[in-house]
Amino acid sequence: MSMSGGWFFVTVSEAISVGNTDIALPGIGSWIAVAIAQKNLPAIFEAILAMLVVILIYDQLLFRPLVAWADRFRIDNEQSEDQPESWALNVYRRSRLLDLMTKPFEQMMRWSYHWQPPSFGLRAATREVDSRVADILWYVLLGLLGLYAAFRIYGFAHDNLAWSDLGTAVGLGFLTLLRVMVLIAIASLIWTPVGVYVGLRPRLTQIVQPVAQFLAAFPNNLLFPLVVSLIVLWDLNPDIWLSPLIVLGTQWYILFNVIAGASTMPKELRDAAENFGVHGWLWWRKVALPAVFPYYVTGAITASGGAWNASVLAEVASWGKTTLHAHGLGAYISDATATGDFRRVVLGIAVMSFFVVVVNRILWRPLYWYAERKYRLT
Amino acid sequence: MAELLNVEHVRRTFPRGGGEELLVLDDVNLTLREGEIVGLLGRSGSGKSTLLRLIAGLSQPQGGNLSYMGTPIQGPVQGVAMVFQSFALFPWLTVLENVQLGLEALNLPPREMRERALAAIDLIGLDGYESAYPRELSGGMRQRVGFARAVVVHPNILLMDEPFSALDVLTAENLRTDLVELWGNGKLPIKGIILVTHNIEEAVLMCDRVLLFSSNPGRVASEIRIDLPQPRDRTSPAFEDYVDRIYVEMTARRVERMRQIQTQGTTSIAMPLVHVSPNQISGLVEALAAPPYNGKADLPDIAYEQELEVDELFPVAEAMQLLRLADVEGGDIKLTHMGKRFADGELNERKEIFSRSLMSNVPLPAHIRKVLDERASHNAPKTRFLDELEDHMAEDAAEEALKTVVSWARFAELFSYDDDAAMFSLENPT
Repeated sequence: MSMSGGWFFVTVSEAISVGNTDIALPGIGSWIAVAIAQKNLPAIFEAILAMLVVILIYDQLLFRPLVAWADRFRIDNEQSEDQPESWALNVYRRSRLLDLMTKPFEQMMRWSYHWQPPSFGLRAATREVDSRVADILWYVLLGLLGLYAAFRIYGFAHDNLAWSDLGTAVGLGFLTLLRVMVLIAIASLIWTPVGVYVGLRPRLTQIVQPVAQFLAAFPNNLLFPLVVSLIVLWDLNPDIWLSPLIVLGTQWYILFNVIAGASTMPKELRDAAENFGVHGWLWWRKVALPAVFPYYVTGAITASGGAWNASVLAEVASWGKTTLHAHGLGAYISDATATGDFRRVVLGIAVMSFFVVVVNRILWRPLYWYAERKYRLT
Repeated sequence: MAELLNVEHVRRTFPRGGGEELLVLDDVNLTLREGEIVGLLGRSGSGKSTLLRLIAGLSQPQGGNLSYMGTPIQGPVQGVAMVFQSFALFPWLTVLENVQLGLEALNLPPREMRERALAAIDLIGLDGYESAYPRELSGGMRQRVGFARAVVVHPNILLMDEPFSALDVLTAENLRTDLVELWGNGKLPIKGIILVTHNIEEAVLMCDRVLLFSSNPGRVASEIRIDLPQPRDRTSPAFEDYVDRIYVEMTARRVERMRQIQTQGTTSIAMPLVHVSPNQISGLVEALAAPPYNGKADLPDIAYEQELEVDELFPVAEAMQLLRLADVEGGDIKLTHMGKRFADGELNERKEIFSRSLMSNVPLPAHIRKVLDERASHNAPKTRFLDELEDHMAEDAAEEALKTVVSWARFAELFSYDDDAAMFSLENPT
């Protein structure tokens, strides 16, 4: 999640315009921005290709080795069934040059073991009472900070904004919430069965899983212009057709989590279901869906978080001189940024944060704990 | 009596990398008649569980026929229910729901489902646990749920895949006797049972007939009828005779094969090596050297004394045979001269004996050592040997052989291995 989120916003922030200030840093994001303004489709394809290559290299040289290396820190004496492997890591490990280059650091590490942190005569809380007092102090501090922030926001906003502006923002927030929920639901309906199907077939999983993870790591905003150009071409309703962009990148989290869930299902459990003639909807209801549920929830949480992020970019999109607007909080923030209306930017962000936190607390968290408690295969 | 199940000339292979095939079951024949408990006894890798899955219709054979009450088995059969080694309960369903699952699939009216499920729960001794989730139960109670779930569908054949091997000794015994008692009283709505096990005593305790499987590929090597009335007494001489007889049969074949390999003076590195640690070998050598055995023991006796199951004892005994630390003959194991010296020696002397024995009796480590000696850098990647082995044997067998050799060579200080880099080398870490 974080990596693609990082790429996503790095590419966006390379070319940013707030009010009348335009900033363009050299990079693939600026390239895309210029290509959009020029309606240059080939240039956009070039950017996508370049990004694919970068992510591929990145994955092979950095992340794969890291994952394979981290496997040694699993707290488990048995060797894992399928150890993550990385050709790059093997190269690093066998390289004498790297050995030589890291020698001094090894020595430095050895010195560092004996460093003592400067002591201020404090000690860690050892008794219940101490930690309780610390907890209360901490929450009081948080409360005060929150109040102060609210006060500042109010002071900052109330000169130019009426209460009706808050109403507008919240109303638009509900629209975006609806959009996120509906699209996550649609993505779930499509990708859960597909994920189960793939996950139960090891050979298919080996092919599909890396592709899904790759797609999830890809900054999908590079693909937006392709979709937007079609919407402009066919003159479609932006309120509906811009929406899929929200889950364009994040739907893959649902897919690959469900695949992971289905592939960890013990063979004996599947044999048992088959042996007792459990088929069709009964099988989905009692066997497959419960087995992948904890994984699905993890995927859906990530996907919905990413979807809120994406809404800021997806609800307003341009192609050449045409700019499409969908109604929603993401568009509200985008537009306010474009016109340099800082008060509305702050208001929009505050409302969106509020929505995200509330949805997390009343929907995803309880669902997550429920799934962990009841459905986790141990 | 009526035949419930007929298995004729069944062959099962699994595809392996490179278009090759691994033969797991070869020309297996088996009949199950009404009122019988038939045991399939063999070491892991003898294809017993594979055969059970074929009978359940969970997979299809590449050759031969299986028929259930006269009709060919082409998919999961209603009337054949299975009990699994790892219980295979659905953790999100309660005991009652787990037991009912098979009935849901039969599309029965809810009233009847409930009544039948409760009756099965009652029969198997799970009363009071209906609303518990599997995670709240002990291993023994979980397996009882597994039994209840199988019994509730009133199958004609009950298949049991090492149902007691995941349980502790006392619980397993408790469950076995309960099951034999229910079966003897005719209270189980079942006509015949097939039990897969690698525990010889369990087979003698429960079965009317025992089929001994040989491994690689799995074949039925012989059949032994157990003519003892139930309930059986483990301490009776007749019982012990059966156990001894099975031990002799199982060791004779394997040792014969190994002796053949050795007398042929084979230099092939592609000898399958089962993973046994030097500690296990030392442990058994010591136990053999000490009283009451003084260098020679009856295999069932020493297995019992050392609390080793067949699956654990045989590989160790074979490794000792391979290293010429002991001789296995009939149902006996006897220390060789070198074995006695190993038993008397200090750690360093043991290492030396082990090292010399490896170099002269086991081709693979000798080969690796030679390659390392010849190379200027004194190291070689694991893949070099793995590829070489895979020309002659299956990938997992090659992996296991290498793993075994690494563990032996480390003890013998013959060469070292770096798992991170997957490299063999001569240098010992300083």
